[in-house]
Amino acid sequence: MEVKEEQSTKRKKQKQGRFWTWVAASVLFRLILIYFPKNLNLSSRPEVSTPLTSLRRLAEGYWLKQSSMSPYAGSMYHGSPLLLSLLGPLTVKRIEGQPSHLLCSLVFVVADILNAMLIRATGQTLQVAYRQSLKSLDLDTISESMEVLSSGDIAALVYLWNPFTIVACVGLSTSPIENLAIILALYGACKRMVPLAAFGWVMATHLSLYPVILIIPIILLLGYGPDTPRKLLLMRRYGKVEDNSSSDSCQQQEKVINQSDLPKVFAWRPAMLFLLWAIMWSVYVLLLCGISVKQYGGLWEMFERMYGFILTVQDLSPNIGVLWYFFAEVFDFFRNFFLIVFHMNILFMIFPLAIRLKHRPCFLAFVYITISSMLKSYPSVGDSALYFGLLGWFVNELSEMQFSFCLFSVYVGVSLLSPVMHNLWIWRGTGNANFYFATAITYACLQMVLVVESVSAMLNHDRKLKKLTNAKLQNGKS
Amino acid sequence: MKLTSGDGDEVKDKAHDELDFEFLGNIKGEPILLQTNVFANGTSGREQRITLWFDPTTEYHDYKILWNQNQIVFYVDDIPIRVFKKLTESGVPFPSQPLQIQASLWHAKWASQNETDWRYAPFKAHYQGFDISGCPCATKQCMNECYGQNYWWNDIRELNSDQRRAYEDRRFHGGLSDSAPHCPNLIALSQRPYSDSSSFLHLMALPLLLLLRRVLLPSLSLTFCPNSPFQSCLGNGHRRRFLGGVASEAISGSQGAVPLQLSKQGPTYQLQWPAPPSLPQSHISAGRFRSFTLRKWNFLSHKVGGGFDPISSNKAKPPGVELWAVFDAPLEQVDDSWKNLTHALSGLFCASVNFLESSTTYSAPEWGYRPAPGSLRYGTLPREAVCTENLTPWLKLLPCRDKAGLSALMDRPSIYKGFYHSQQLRLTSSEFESEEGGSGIVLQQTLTVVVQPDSERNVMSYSHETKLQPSWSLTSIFGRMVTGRCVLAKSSTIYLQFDRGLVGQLDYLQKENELSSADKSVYEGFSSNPGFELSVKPDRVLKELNGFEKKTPSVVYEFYIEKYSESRPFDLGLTWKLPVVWSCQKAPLHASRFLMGSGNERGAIAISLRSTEVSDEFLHTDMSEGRCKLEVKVFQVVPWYIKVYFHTVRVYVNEQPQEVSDVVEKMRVSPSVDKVSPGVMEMVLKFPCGMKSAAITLEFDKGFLHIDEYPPDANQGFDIPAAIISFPNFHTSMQFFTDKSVDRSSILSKFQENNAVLAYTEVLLVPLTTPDFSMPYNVITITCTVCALYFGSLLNVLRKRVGEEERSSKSKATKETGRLRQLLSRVSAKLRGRPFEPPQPPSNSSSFISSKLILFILVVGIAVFWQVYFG
Repeated sequence: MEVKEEQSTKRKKQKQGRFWTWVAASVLFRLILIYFPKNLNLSSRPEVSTPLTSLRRLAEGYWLKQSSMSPYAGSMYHGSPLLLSLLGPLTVKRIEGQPSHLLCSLVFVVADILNAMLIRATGQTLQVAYRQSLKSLDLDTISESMEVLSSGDIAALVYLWNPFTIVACVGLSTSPIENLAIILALYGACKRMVPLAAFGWVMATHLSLYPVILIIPIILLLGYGPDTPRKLLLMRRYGKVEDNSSSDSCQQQEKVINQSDLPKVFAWRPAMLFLLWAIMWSVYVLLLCGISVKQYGGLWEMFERMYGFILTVQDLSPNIGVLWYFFAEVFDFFRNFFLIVFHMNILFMIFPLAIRLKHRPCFLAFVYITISSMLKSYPSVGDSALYFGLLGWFVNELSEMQFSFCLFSVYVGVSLLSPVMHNLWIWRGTGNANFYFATAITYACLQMVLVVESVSAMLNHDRKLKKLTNAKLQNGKS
Repeated sequence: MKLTSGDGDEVKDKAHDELDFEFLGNIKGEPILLQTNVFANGTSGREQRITLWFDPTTEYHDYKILWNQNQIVFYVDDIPIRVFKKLTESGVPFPSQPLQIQASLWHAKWASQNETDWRYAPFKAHYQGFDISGCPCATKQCMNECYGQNYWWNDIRELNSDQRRAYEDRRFHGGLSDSAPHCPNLIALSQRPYSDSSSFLHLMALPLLLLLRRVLLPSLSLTFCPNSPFQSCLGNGHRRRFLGGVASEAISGSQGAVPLQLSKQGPTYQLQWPAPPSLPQSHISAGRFRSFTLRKWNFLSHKVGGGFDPISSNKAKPPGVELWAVFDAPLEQVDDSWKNLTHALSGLFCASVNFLESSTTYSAPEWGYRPAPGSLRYGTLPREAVCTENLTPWLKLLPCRDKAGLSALMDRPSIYKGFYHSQQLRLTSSEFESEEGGSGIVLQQTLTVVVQPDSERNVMSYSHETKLQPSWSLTSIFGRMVTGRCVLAKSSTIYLQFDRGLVGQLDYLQKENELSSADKSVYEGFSSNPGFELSVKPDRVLKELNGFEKKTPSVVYEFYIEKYSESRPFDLGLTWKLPVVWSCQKAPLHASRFLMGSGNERGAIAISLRSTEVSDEFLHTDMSEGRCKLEVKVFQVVPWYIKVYFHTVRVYVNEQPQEVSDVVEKMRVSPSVDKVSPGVMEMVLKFPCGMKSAAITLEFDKGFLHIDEYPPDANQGFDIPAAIISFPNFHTSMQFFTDKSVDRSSILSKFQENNAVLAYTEVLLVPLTTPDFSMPYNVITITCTVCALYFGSLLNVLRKRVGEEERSSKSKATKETGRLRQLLSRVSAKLRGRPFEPPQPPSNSSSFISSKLILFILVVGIAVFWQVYFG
């Protein structure tokens, strides 16, 4: 036994060492890319810098603010005034002999590393929860036989080494910071740090609006705890422990509820606390914003320029989404209708998913993020980087996902073809807007398949667990 | 025939049909005008006048009329001077009755240049040497005989080649001109009470112009001025030579390497008539001060540099329409006033000025263009083409249209043949001193034309290495002459300005030739100048006052048109006697603008300023800081789809990057708002004096437009309006040594206006990417399909539990649960599942249908919602 433990600890240490080398290597890789001349022109790629995340626009906003104009004058800057006061000075400051964007890039690299660390910590929590739940279901055997992968490390490494993340980080887009806010919220919720979770959620909502729907997974996470298998199974298990003979589900349920040590009941206290903290933080953030935009157009202008810009899709410059071309082509009198339809598409799926996946709030958050990054007005690869990182958390559960190879290869294909088509259309003039739009449509389909398949795989995994417990129960009975 | 020497003679035929030689009365010493006339069927009005090329009082000359059934030809010394073809098929009457010969003296008050002095009466005429060949015939029977082959003149159908050459020579050199049916109409017009000016008010759609209810007599003046900006038209590296005289200018290769030799001249018509306001103030609030310009450049690529000339620097502009207005209205009404104005002007000038109505096309500069914060609006349409449709309404605003006065010169073909022409309308409400006193509204109309004298005929090749500049005259340029002033005009003057450089050259020439050492200089005598000769003696010579410069002053010759009439038309001409090469004064910096970068994603605008190095003596103007600085103002408007990053402004001086704050003294930016307003940049830069070149760069991203926002020729590109570079420390004013009579002529006061030197840069053409215009439906359907697919399949996955639980109970029996589940997890696998589970399809399809049903209900619900709230 001791030898075995030693071996396992050794292996663990080895694994740890390997993990840190990979992290260091990824940081080094980023730094090398930063020092490339002209930043490899990544900062002007449509995949990287959308009107919302472009650092160039932020610099313009900062310049306008410095020349005592509203940063929202004109239609250049659409980001947060807080980000402006955080990153703005760095766009101007220069270190002698270093690239001009060095300071900003370093901020983004730090944000990326922080993201990776938070993903790792959250992943480890999730894994512990997963192991515990398997143990409590008496399914240790499968966990051992399946050799549970350390999903936290995998997710962190996937996040760090994902080309999308690297490009978004080196390409000077503010999406690493937006991602940081989202991950902070999820981390806080997983670790049951209510103020942190509330802060993350408020910041994420403030920065990019779409994370507002994450309030549901965060509350579920705070209420139920990290992802656990289905409640019903647990009830059955407890029911079995309590009363072997009876199989009346109603009685079982009552008994389960009566049990005080059962953690699987929705905990209202942290949820309420979260709401309270969220209100406090949003008041605080609004106050800060109000102070910084007071002498210009006030908060209303900020809302109009940030959220109005997101919701009305005013900028039709190409990006990896589909809405820009749609709204460039659609007849003007249908515009508002389709704006409603596309935003409703995000909102309509919130409740069905929440009902079905309420026992897996982290996975629910992942699905929400994927959906919003598919249908948002100005998607960038930074959003994809985030959900790919989060996908690493569920590497055990989603091991049986279908089309994974297919998805992977089409991802590679699209991310190679899309710049080519963009180049043909914009730079060479030999291609046509439809070529680029075709890659965007493919990309949207891809994310759609990813969402559908991952949800389906997760549900299947739950079914499998249920089946196994049922079989165990039957075995136990017989 | 010999005329008696005296104050007036004439020979006349008188009948119902009539063929006339009329010698018009004149002032002694002036060339005598010969008028020919053809009466047919009693209709007259076909007078033609010719300035005889000899003095008919000294010798006998032959005056012949050939009249057959084909034509009537008037000959003077066997040179045909007029051909009147028989065009009865076209409805032109032709004399056909038997004629007799009459010779008489005739008291023609209107045709003579002065009054008949009856003190010399009686007047006697003596005629000799009449020779008539004709067919005497009094009855209709002999008519056919007369038209037969017996008579030699019946065969003459056309002029022979020699005659034709002589005829053309006479007509175009001798200055034969068709005179308009003059007297009765014009006199009537002048007697019409002008105070209500209804004669042209009905032409105007512009409510604002209705303010001109009371119009004083217009002063109409024509100025020839060297349009110094034009000289830079032909680009860099060419040595410029200002050909003398009327603003004519030649550009040729410095060492004769470029065979191109062009000569241009820019007459400017300026019409001004003041009007005291007699309408309530509410009307005036519509606008106070506006300028509207339509321009056309014939050059494929042109560069407009700045110029020192007071008029040209205001008028040499890039192609298109430029409109600016300062409104008296309260600030919140300014935009509305602007919109009204654009619509009125577009109706008035048949131009698409109404496109300036959209807020994306006009801007509100604060000090970059003209100092008028808040109430100034400025808009340009760089692509607007200018054609006769725009000129006609412009001319209609003139009281005499193009029928009389200086505007009679505005012969459409010769104007549009020119290199550049610009028509400008400027309405000013200002205090001005008029006879009536008080303030009023002044409408100034300016037409600037750069034309090339017909060099082929005029250029004689000299033995020198340089060619003689082409000589010109009004007739050679416009094909017309000024036949007196418009009777409504208060004054009518033509100015001929000699540039400083030219005067200097001429002085130098004179000294070199040592023709007249001391007393005769270019500004005193015109006929004695060795360099050139004017065909008409100027009434006044004005010399520029320049106290501080050691340079030669420019000279302006004044010609009063009042003295001239139909009988004595004004035809100014300038003949070069010696080749002169000179360069005119240039702005301190030559401005040009270009685009950088490739592709349709982003780019940069660069404004490059090159020192012209000719005006070093001016550079001491701003010594306030102890260092010599050159102040430059830049005003740039960019349309919203050029998304300029103003923080990327870079300034390079002598190709070295400079700290922006070191050079930019003042900067005002109003960034563009998508689909709402254009971006405006106003800058004051201070460069060191010894600077050779400077450049300002600005990066931008190209915007993407909705398909409806693209013009029909979307791939042609979009225009960035010209940037305006001005030099606040350099002024265009020229002070002339004159008495107070200057006040009467607006153009001289224009010379003296203290305007900053302006330069317009090129209009830039920016290509933008285009979406596919042909497939909006495809895009909509494909995108919606993807959305529906996502929605449907996700809902399907989520909804699978019910069916799955039913199945799981059954699948225990079949032992195929795992495989089934796997299959069922896919939408596509539904059909494959059929053989395994026959009872399955109904439930599946029902679920599928119900999901579709939900989708359908949702869409219907949204549609209803839409209909209720927005429909």
